[in-house]
Amino acid sequence: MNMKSITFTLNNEKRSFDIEPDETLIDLLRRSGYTGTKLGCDTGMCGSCAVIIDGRIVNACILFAFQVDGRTVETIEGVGDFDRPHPLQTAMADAGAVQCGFCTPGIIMAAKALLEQKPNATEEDFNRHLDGNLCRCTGYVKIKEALLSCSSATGGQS
Amino acid sequence: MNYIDFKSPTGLAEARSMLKELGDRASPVAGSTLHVFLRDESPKVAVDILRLGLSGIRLMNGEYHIGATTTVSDLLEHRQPGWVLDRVAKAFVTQPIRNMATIGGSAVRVFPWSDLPIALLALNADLVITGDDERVMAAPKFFETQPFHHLQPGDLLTSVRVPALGAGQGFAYHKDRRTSTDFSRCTVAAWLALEEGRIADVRIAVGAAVPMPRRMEAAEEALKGARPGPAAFAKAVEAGIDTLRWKGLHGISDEFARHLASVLIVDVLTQAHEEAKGA
Repeated sequence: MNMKSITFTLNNEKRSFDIEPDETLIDLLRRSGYTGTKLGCDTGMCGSCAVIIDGRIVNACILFAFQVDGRTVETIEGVGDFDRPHPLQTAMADAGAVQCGFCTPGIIMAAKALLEQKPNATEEDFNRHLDGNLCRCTGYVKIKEALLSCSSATGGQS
Repeated sequence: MNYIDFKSPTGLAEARSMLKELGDRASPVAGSTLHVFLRDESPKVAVDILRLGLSGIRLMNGEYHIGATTTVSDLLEHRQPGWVLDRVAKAFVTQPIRNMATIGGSAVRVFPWSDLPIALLALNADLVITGDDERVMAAPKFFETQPFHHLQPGDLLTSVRVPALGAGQGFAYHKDRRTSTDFSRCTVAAWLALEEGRIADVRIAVGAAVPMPRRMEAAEEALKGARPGPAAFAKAVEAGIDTLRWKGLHGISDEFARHLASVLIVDVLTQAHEEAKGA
């Protein structure tokens, strides 16, 4: 296979990777150790693989790695960690919005992209913006509570 | 897809030259949301066409010129007088897909669940292909067959021109599905212009429940000059419904697809009429 090098900003750090032409972004991320991004449906329908590219949420399972050359990619690893969680991560934990947790990274990324664009996002905004994130455990009520508590529209209340 | 190489041109001329040289081995890639549905496993060279400066929406002489790599999210977020494609973009699967999918990709390869071709037919859009010369194709001609067949090696769909909705005109779009992200069972759109209380012009387009998106011309002809209203709409649809071949999808019969379409078309005509009246 014809390996080629691409360079892009990954979680605020400029990185170069050798990729195969038909490699998807999620395959590149996961083989490079960024396993927080999950592979679910592999057809762009469940949102477990959601990452932020140039400020917009996209599905890494159907995007080819070569398409992010020169772009800015943010994964869950760049959002926060156990010692310094992002407010969205804290809110999800506090609200009990996580069961199996497989969809959680995608949900955090989608919510982060929305709140960066619209800090006062409403419930309707979350419904529309997260329509590509499926959760098969929680029933969404606790997830919505958690995410809404991070919007300035609710003043920290959901 | 079986990509054996990729290229990332930064200008239209460079991209066209690559596509021409590669011929059948080239695969233009924009949003990359459709490749999971393609069964072509022959070796291809991917040509990334997202860096050609073909994105953006401009209003010129009453017509929106939409660059082919403009995303569906951009269509959804755009606000300007006479702009109606946000109504169509709203029905387009999910936010990540809206962020990736482009108007050009959605037009060039038609699937049963496609949204934009039906709206582009009803809105009488023109599609601009840039090859050695620039060719402008009206939507009915463009969607007569799978549109990628119109493209010779080195050709690219570069923009879509959609007339802005004017005074006395209305447009409505509806996609019937079981859940918000489900595939369509029937998609319909209607555009209507009023003059002195009568229908001066009308266009009806359907998709999903027919093999390829089509206008329902017999119903349009029956409505021209008529006084608009539910009874006139229903009568015209009845006159035109059997001019198309209906195909049931996702568990519905051909007969139900025909019935569903007839109900939905009356609905979108009614909505378009309300808008044209200024309601």
